[in-house]
Amino acid sequence: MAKFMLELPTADMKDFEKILKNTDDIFGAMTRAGAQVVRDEIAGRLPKAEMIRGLRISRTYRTPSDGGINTKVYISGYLPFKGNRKYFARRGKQGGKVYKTTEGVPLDFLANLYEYGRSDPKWQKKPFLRKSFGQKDKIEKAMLEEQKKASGGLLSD
Amino acid sequence: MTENINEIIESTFNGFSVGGTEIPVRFMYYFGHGEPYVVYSQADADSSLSGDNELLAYAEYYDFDVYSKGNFLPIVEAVKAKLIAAGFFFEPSRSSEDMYEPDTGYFHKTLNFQYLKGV
Repeated sequence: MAKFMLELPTADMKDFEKILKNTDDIFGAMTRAGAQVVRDEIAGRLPKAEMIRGLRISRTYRTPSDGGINTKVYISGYLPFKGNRKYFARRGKQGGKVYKTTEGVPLDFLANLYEYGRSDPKWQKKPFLRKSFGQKDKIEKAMLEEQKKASGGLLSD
Repeated sequence: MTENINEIIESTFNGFSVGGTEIPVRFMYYFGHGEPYVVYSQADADSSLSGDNELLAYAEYYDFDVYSKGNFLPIVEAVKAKLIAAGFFFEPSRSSEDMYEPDTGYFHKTLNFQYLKGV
């Protein structure tokens, strides 16, 4: 049987080791860079400027189920009531419990309303989340730049 | 010649019915009083194929919003089947979860489809 032997230069071995040791940090930095692009895209498309107060980027975390490294972009918090409104209530699906708050209109509810609309024609949908996540070229570019930076130039596109 | 997507959609759903119930499919809004119904509109567009520094084809994304006060799942499946047969691609990641409007009693589901269009 033919045999093949390859001896890697020590410097290359050290580079591989360095990359392996820092994989989580590199991937984490990459997802954060992508999330920052999405966050900026969303900020530029918000249907209501006040919604910016709830636009956030999560910490970078690992999902135990698949070992994935993730950073989320999300909208949370409340938009203070205008006028005489005192509380906001929403009911879950038929039979679901009623959620009531005096803090304001939940921003995630508002975002969903703008993203997908509703049966009342006065609520015209203005998709802004899907358009922002759809900027794949910009997101990929930012992630690859971060990959190069976080790996000290060892990994490049 | 480029295709008019709205015309394709209108002809695809001409006389659309599910389980013997005729379901109106309208552009942007439905001003009728019956239910269930479906409204569609363009949600996004994206350059898709370029050559020699020119755009050769692009993707248009269309939302189809199913509104029903009853079981909407057969309508969702029928809409998907019709559009896929007409050359659309279903986009699960751009579609919504199941939604419910407590004040109107409507179940609502947004289905997103991509249609690749030549320039």
